[in-house]
Amino acid sequence: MSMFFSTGYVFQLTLPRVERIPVDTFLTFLDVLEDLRGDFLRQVSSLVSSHIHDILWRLDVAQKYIFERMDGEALKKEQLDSPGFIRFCELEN
Amino acid sequence: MRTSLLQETSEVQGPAGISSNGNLSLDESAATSIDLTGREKSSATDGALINVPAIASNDACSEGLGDPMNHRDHIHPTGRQRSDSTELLLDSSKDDAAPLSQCQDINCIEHEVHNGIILFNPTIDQWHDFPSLLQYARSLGADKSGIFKVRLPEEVRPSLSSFPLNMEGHKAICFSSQPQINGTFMIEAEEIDVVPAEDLELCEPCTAALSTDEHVSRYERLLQDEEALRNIYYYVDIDARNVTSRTRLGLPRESPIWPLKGDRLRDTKAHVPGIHSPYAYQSSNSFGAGFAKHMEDYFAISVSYLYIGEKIWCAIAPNDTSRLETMLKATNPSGYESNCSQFLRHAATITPRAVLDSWEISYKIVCQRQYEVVVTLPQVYHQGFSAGFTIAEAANYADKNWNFEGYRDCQERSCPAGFATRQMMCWREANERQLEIEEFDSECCDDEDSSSGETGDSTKVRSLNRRDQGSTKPKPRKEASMPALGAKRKRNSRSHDRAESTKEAIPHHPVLATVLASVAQLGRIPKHIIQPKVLYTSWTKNKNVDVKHSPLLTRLFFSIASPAAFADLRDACFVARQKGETRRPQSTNTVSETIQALDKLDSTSFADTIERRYHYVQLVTKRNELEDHYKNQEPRQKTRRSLKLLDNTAITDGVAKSYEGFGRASSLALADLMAEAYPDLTPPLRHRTATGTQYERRYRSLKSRLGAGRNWHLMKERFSSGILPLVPVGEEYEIQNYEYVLLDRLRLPANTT
Repeated sequence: MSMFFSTGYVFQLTLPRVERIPVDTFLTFLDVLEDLRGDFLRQVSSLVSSHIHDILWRLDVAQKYIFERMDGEALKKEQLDSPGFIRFCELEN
Repeated sequence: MRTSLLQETSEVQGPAGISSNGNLSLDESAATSIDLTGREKSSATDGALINVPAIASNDACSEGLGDPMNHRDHIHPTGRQRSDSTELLLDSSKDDAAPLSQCQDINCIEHEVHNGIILFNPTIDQWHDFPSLLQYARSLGADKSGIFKVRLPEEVRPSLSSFPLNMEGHKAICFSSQPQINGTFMIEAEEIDVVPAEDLELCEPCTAALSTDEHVSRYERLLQDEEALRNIYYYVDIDARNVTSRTRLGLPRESPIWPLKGDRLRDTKAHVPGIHSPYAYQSSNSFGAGFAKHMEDYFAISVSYLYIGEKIWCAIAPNDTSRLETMLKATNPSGYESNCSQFLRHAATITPRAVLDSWEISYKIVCQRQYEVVVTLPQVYHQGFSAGFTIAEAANYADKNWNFEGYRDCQERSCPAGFATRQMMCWREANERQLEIEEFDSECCDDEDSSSGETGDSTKVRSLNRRDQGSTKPKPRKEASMPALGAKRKRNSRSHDRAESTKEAIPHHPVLATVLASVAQLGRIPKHIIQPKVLYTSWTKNKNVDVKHSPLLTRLFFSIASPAAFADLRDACFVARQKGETRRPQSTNTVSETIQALDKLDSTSFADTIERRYHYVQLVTKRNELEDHYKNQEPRQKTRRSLKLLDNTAITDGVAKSYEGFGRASSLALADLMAEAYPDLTPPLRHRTATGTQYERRYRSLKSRLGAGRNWHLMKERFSSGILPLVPVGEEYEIQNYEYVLLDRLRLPANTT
């Protein structure tokens, strides 16, 4: 087996990588992701989906998520899967 | 005058069911005030809740007409204005329990006293000044009974948007009871998957005309009827903290009982759901959904609001708390082996009145009606049940004098009340954020998690041991209490353990080192989540995964919805909001400006990337719909369509044109997409004649986009569309070329361990 990949292969991987993962591999990945982080991901995903479309397409920019008001560094200091993120994904009252 | 009245009313015993020793007193409704249609008579409530029908609300307390047993007294009935001194109290939560002499006007709160139970009728301002209301209740002697009621002012009675509540995803419990040697009943609850719809329909209970005493008698008879108990359903401990969860349930966006002014629970180290924030409860329309005898965690106050229906409470007089505990242990020592302050929750118990009477324990029976809040004071044991369909929510409260000195923590991990620990309830520092319970757990208690407590008999829960409508058990972390979650966690734990056992087998490896370094940039990973090194090893061993994808999958796993991803999304939202309002800087004069400009471009790029993902998913969704459409077509239709395609005839029932590859649903779907996207482009007769044409280029582009959207679509299907912007894309997450070298070495750990 060659110790190196072809240039073409490397080039492919510089394209958006998530999109290049084979479907079987990706389904396995999703299974593991769901098993180990599913509860958290479903919660934040549900919250984010409530309004992100309106923001990105500027359909309604009146409402803001709590995380938009937060300092980026403060967000990065939270732990992975911190329940704080669930709160931060709420819309401001 | 007030003092003499209190003396008078506290001596009055209930009109019915008075015990031989006179210990029982009832907050009895005046039967004469019941509207036989089951609707409330009180004009104050008419129309207040359009979408919440009033049922069987024997609002005798508000009417009380001609009831000789109701000793009501409207104190300062006109004094509904708060004075300046009260206003000062409102402005300072720390002064919420100022000496009574400083807040004389608090005494203006209109109230009634029925058999020693106070019912307040506050104004909005008076309700919002809960510390003063509490203080006033105590000054009126509420400490003696340990329980009082507040009828929320009409203006703050919230409406339900769903009736019954939307309990999708939540499990109800049903009951069973076991008579004990000492005359009490041990209650167990079992989770059920589906509650019959007819059991959640609002109907007037046949008990609508019963007095409170008759309700209690009926419930005590019910405890002996195993069959009937099993047909009573109760949704308990449903998180109702935030707007999202509340809206989903159908509760009003804002809780009427939380947050309350002056709540010192806000100052503790951790936030425990159900204690620090409300839980919702919904019982079926069968009579008798109960909650077992308990006191609140850490000597807190309980505050419970009833949206609809009637609940009957039995509160043990605080002076008899020790006596009750002693008698329960003495008469059934094997039932209560724990010595913690929540030992009663180890065996959910309902104690009938006759038993309490025989033990000479004083208690109050209180009927809670629609729009009423029941407040139990610290260390007050209470039990109760719903007299038909009820919707309620409850939380705890701590006033400025709150302390839990003498509270005995349970040493058993399986303690039904063991969720909130002493450390969680301690004061936090002023600059310290109140942690979510999982955060607190992960920081302080991770090591304990591996040794789970109860695991057997996992379908049995003891929700009666939790908060009632009240029982203060937050979402349990013990597997035995919540089978679904428990099973999940155990499964996670097992996979974690399995992976842990192999982590030493990984030799030091440059790719692994790079992966670990890049994952470290994404944010802190708590111990309870699988660690990158372990996950990486798992990927390399997974037969479904090509080993070359292991680094990518590892980083992707930790990057989705990571702290860094949220920071990126924050920036992307900022950029999206500014679109059309600002222009990218054309030139920069300083390094700072240049860096800022570059940062902004990065964010802009990310915002565009997110948009692209949504479009991809939309495209794939549309393609899949078309494919399904064609797959579901009748064979005859397919044949006819194919024949038309062969003839290069326009199809009348679709937008697809003929082209090579007819007959396959995916090809037909693609053709439809092409026709819809590029109506001006004419499809070629044969693909080979299309090479180099604009149609062919667009066709390939479409296929490429569909391919790019496939995984985003899968991800969206799994977690909903909100996951799409939570996958960060940035230079720091790119896999460097050198990571793909020496793959034979990369395979080594997988093949050798």
